[in-house]
Amino acid sequence: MGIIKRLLSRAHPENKLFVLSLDGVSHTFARRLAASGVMPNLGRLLPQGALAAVDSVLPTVSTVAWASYMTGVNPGKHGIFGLVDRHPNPFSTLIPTSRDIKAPTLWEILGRAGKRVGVINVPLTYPPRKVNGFMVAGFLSPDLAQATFPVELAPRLMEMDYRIEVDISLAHSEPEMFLSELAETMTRRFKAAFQLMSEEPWEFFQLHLTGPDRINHFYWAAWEDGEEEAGRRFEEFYRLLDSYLGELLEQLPAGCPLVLVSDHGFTRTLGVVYINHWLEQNGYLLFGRGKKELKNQHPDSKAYSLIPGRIYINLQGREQTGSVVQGRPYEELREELIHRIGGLSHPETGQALVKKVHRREDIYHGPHVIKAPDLVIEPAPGFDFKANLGVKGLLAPPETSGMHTYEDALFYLGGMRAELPGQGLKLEDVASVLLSVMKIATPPSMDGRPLA
Amino acid sequence: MSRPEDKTPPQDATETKEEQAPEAAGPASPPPSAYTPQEEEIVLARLRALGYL
Repeated sequence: MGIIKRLLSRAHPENKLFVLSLDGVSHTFARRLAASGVMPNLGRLLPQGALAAVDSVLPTVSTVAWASYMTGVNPGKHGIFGLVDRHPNPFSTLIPTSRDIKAPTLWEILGRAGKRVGVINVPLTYPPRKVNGFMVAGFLSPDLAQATFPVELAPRLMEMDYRIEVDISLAHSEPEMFLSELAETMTRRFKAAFQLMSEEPWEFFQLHLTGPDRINHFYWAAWEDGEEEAGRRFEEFYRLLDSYLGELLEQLPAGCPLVLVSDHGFTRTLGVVYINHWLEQNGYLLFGRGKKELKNQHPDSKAYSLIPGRIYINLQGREQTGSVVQGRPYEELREELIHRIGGLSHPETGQALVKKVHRREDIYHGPHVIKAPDLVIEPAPGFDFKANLGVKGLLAPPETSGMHTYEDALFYLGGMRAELPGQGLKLEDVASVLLSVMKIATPPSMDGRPLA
Repeated sequence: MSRPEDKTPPQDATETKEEQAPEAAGPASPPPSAYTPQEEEIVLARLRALGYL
């Protein structure tokens, strides 16, 4: 019997589903937390369901990943390619929001099928779009007053002292305060979720935690190295998360499956790679007189990058100072950059900095590929590609101790005992799996398919 | 799990190979931001603190 059929054969009289999304918690890391006893509730939970490692998206940043999760389509169909995007002519940078997602979301599909949803804190949900239920937008919501649908929900959350995000700058300036705020923010998020679970009607509920990603960015290496105090504080955060996981399991309605999902894997940062510096040093990126900024590229400039490792050809007819002609010149330049960037290595250790450079049409498909970067660098694990200008060299020491990986995101579906090894599960597949659990057909426009 | 991208025909009528070629668009205004200038400063500061800018 197929995996979903076996799942659906269990009694779920109310046909509810709860998703706990754990930003930055990899499949491997979750198993380690469970096995080591840091998260005993997780340790009891994992054997009772189907667990899989999931491939994320390129570029591997949270907003692109969560857009793929929530729409069940690749970036070529949802139109989100980074935390920052660019308008080519006249050149300007912009920060994509929920308005830029060009595909229906999981909760919109559920709502159209008559399901009541509750969604808390998922990235790229600001401004909140109308749903059949309620929505509390997450990263990057500027303030709570405008972050809820319906708007009447905001005052209730304010009464609970709900917080959208920890002040990340504290991680640099006041680490003790940062850790304390992370714990407090997670506590208030869970308490708000518990209250809304009991007070509001829902059939699909998603609670998203950003805290794991944040603490991983700043404490990953210390934990891996076994640094006593920092490692203890790191594990303390996950022990607190586990206590709330236990409380959540007690509060879930009978027969309601719990899903755990994350957006990417995690690894130690080995170094920062300033790819615009390399493009400039090698004559691909040229600036006009005046300030060195991307909107001031010289008419002979050939390519530039946006974070993380997105390369745009300075294409004639598309870019403000476009110089590269479409057709053969464009293809030859892409080929040259694929070869040269793909061969970059660490000057001291000889380590490869790049796993692969992808042409956009090889990794995306759909009507919004035209907005995609012309090339996407998939970094070698641990090398953090940035787009800063005016830096002194190609390589710099890490700015944060941990970073994302394409492989090894987490997917767990409660209520099953079988594992899902080697099935090539991708993040964009998850929405259709969840729809299957909710007994709703996958829309044909989705890239993912339900499990057989 | 995913449909093999190299074997599956495009599902949308608008999804063609031509659209995957680099576009040639003349000057157009950037889309309006969902953020006010003040809000944009807040979110940019968050992105900087996370090392994304």
